[in-house]
Amino acid sequence: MSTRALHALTVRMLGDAAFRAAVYADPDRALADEPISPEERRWFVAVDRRAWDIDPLRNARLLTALLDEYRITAIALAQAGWKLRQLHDFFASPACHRAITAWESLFMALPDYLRSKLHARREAASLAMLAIEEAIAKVRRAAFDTRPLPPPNHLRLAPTAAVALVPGGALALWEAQHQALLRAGHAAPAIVAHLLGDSRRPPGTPRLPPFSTRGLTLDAPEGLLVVAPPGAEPAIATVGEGLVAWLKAATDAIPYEAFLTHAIDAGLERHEAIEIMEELLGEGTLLSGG
Amino acid sequence: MENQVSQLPFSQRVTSLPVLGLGVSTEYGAPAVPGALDPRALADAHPDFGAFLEIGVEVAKGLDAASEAWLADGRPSTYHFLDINLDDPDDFDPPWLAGMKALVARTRPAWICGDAGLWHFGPRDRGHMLLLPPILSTASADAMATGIRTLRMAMAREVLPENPPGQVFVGPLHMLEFFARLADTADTGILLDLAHLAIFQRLRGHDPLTAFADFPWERVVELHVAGGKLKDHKGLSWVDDDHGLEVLADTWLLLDEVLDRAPNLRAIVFECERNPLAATIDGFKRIAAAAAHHRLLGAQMKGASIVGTEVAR
Repeated sequence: MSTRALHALTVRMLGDAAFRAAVYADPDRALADEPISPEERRWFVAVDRRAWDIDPLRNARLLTALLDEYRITAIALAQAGWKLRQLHDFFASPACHRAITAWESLFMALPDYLRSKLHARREAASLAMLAIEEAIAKVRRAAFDTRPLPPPNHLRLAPTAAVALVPGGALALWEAQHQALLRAGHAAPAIVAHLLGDSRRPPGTPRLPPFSTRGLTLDAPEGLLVVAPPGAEPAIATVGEGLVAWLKAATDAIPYEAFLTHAIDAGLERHEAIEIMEELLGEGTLLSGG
Repeated sequence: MENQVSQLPFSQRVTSLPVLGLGVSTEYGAPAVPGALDPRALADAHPDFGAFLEIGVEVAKGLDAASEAWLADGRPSTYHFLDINLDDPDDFDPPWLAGMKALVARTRPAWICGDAGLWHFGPRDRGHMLLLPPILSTASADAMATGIRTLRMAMAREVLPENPPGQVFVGPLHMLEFFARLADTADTGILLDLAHLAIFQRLRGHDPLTAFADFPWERVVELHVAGGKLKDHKGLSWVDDDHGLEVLADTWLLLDEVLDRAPNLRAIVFECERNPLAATIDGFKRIAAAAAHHRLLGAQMKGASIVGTEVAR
């Protein structure tokens, strides 16, 4: 038995009414794949069923907190007609359950959930904003990555670095909204909540610039490298598509040679690939196992 | 005031803990909320009601201006953590430990205390804080005891686990059984929150004094008293632990019963930080009156209960 497994189940049952109902209906079936004993399954259904949803606003509060870090994604969703209440099934989603079970941050589960709901071409703007903000959220949480260094002769993308491939013009669109939200200061969360239909627009708050997707070019993507210098806000640079693909290959530890082969297959000379790799290692964008 | 943690058993270590008396709690930003109690104003006007400040601390946030001012005055404090899952060894990460060590050095608390439950799920990330009760099992108590020992040695201070509030209690043990095992295995003192205990007893359908018989009362060093509001949810009666001014009758009963049983009790906190100072005085007076006969707290309480707002010595 792990107390963490029991805590995770408690959190999942608090957030997901359907899962909770399944557990009460047949705990052995609903919890068959969980690392807990039959006796421990009974512990959950021994709780008065009504106690689980005493706080009906819990999910809404948490979702609002999550979207506060994906503000421009939320603006894009609102522009596309989405409302906050349509996103409440996040807590019943496989992405959410997986994150809770793995004891990971829900800020990194939200993108998977949203990608499962959004149509690739119809909602390209929302997905583009999501990709940018997911990369920023990842590097902000570098401290949560407790993986050991890569093995010898391997390397891996550093937790303080992330890459994304977005439609051309997406970064400029994101920047314009980001600057407007910065100027709005403390009113920013309320503005976003209002846009998603959750509350009134705060009086006296500035209007955001139009969220126009006309400048997006789906067929001319731009690569982004997001890095988080220690103690500073994440910085975003545009890079080539090739570099994005190359660095994505190092999401998990990869042998040096395999990493270089990716670049050579994409058209680089070997010495060029080595030079760039060493530069990325020197900058801390890549971690080496020595 | 410091109690240097040693290899001595708790029964000996407890004798060097100071008797703090009656105090109030605070959390980051609480005094700045309009209408909320100012701890220094309480202590200046009613020294026996504001004898110490229990400072609720998240390492990531640190101390607010009100707490800093209290400490600058040289007034006594205790450190109440808000961000450690005691039963999870992975939660004791080096950066967090270093941060807490620095804050403990700044606050110089008489002891450390905090709810022995789930403060956050997953990493310490925004929105992930929730405070759930512990899993009420022997294995969970043992895991938590290891955490208490770890924190006690790391901080060189007593670490008193507190019974958390909640509505969902998972596990077969009674809360007092759980804490008895926890305290024994960790060889530690306890902070018993009477409002939280009343909530638990009521929710499980118990009499307020259920499981009192076998509890190690000699380990109780601190008590919390707080207001709560009775509510109904689909026919389920539950208590909102709102720290208001209406202390439930069960909580007052528990206070009287525990004062008669806990010989090492050294501090009582009236958790009323969200209320205007003037409105809290009757609550403080009642606690002081109840504690007036306690062998350790009595000397401090007698003056306050008899005289009221004018404290004479």
